[in-house]
Amino acid sequence: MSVPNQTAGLQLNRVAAGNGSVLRGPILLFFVSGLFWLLIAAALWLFSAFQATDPSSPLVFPDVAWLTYGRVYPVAMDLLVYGWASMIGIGAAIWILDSMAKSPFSGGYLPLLAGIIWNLGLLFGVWGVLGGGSTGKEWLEFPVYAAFPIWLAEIIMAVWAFALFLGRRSKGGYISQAFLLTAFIAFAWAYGSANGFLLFCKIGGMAEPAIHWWYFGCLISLWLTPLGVGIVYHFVPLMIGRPLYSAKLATISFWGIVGFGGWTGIAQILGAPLPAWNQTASVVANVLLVVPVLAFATNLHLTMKGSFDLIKPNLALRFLVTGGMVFGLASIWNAITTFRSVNRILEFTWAITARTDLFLIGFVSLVCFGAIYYVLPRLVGRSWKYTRLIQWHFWFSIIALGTLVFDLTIAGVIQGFGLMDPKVPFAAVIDLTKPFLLGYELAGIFIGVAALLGVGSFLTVFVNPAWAPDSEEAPEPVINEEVSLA
Amino acid sequence: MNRLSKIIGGVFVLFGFSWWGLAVYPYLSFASLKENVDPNTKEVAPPDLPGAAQQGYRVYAANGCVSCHSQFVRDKSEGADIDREWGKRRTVARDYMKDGQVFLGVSRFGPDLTNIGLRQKDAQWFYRYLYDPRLFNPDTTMPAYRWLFQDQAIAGQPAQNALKLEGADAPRPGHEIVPTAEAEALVAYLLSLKRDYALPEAPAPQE
Repeated sequence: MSVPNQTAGLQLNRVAAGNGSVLRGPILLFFVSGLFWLLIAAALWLFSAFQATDPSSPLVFPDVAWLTYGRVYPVAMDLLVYGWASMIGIGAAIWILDSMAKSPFSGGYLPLLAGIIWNLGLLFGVWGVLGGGSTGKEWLEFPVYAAFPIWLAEIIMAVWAFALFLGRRSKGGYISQAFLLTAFIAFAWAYGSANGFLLFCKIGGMAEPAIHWWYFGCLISLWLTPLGVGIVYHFVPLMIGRPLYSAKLATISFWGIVGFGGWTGIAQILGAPLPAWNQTASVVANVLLVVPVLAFATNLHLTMKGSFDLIKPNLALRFLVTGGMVFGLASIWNAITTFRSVNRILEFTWAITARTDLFLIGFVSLVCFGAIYYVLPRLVGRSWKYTRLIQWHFWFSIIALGTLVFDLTIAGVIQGFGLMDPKVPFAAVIDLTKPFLLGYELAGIFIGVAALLGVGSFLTVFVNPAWAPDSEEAPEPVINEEVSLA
Repeated sequence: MNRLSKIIGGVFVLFGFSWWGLAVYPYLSFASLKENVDPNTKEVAPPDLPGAAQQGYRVYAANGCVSCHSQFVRDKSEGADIDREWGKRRTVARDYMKDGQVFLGVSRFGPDLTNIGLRQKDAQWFYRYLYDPRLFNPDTTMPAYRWLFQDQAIAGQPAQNALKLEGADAPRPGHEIVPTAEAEALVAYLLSLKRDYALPEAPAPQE
């Protein structure tokens, strides 16, 4: 069984295919919304970082219910996942699926409708959680009236994606399409079934956290991962003008992620009273997941080999390749910290938070920005001018990521070893982590700056000179004019 | 692409397998749990939750307490939870069978609360801690939940559950700070968190 690889047939023209103009509106809607939610998420995250580390800070409002840490932090994380990463991922997926399908069907109103409903869901979700309607389940905090619209919008997107794919004019398929279509199926199933079980069926007892954390694994490994991997597999060959190095590696990465992804979540709560085989299966899945992820990273590396010079001038490519490489590292780190001997120390600590952040900021967010920087100029017919700003954005993203993950991991290791020693009182353990949590505040500031630079760069494209689709020059954010792109 | 059906089928099978294993299987296997009745004392374990506590878990959920507090005690081989006296034994599936909602939690930026109702038995302590955590622990990072309380003029006798506050926190003369209904429900819930009954599948480890 193999995933079709027809890279040779992958269109290298830089203009959106057939219905690009009809889908311009929906893609822009998803991009603008995603960036908007990113700004809100970054602001709330920064806010919560100060609250978590310094209870006497002027950012703590003990008299205002909706500004307390327990409501602000979950909203920041939910917006990062369901607002920022998901919406940009879908926007890029619309572009990719449409440009691959060359279908007479565009159904432009479906993505538009989905975008509007998705935004409404997020709005209800923020309102609900801040207002005291949170379900109290991490990453599933949105109450029913917010979760349902998001799920509905996703179903609409899935229907659109399959209709487009089945009606396509191009022959065969490409690996990025397989990943994106899988993401749409998996999220619809996982989000629907988790919310259905947890919010409608009112099941009680330990089945609740089992389903809840199964869902978390699906959210990370079968929604955000295939979106990100699909984007990288699609745009990187386009940008360097060469097909993917290996179809075999692509096939391994696909079936590996699909096969192991759903099993990864339970490893978040090892030691809980769940069936032992569930926990073992989840640890094994997290470790085995390294294989497909490294297959992906290796494939990316071998595809880029000889073209690595391009990541210096081509900033969109730089975001995508860096994101893909970070994913490889993140998956190794994920496997190491899942081993029972390591996990019993790091469980419940900031190090586990950092592990998720490494994935969300280091892989997903970088890839999302890479997609924006590639797609946007083609969408609005303008090229990038203020590429220095994008360069700043890239470096601030890397600094933010480094500060965040480094600080929280060190804090988590100290917290973990402290908690393992019952002679150290709990309050003393937390005190030991405090110096590093100042770094968390700093990381929050960097993330805010990076988000602002990203949004700023996004906006500058609209004031830039028009770019003619048939001109030789690519509209990439390129900082060195001398390097020409294939 | 005739491979499309292969891919879709493969995704459904592989994904459905994890769904069955991690969602449906636990659901089915935990649904058959029954409470434990001691043959001699006829004592039921776990006990039914008091009515007030059944509302309190919603306040716990709504305010993201789970962001910092876990509620499960791991086995002695898995960590120092028992040595930290967060519980005399590990928690097992039956401990949670009557909970309105299960808050395992993945963060211990605050202490585990599985048995907080055994460590603190006085509602007044909880009220004062929620009102101003720094009264008890000057270094704690826990936020104050002053909005769970209201300031009211004393009418006749002071209210029974009025907070005993001194110094900077003391109410204005003639006024008192009393918990809202939400605070009362939350504290009733926290007081109910005690797994001090015996279950045959989880004997307390011998010292």
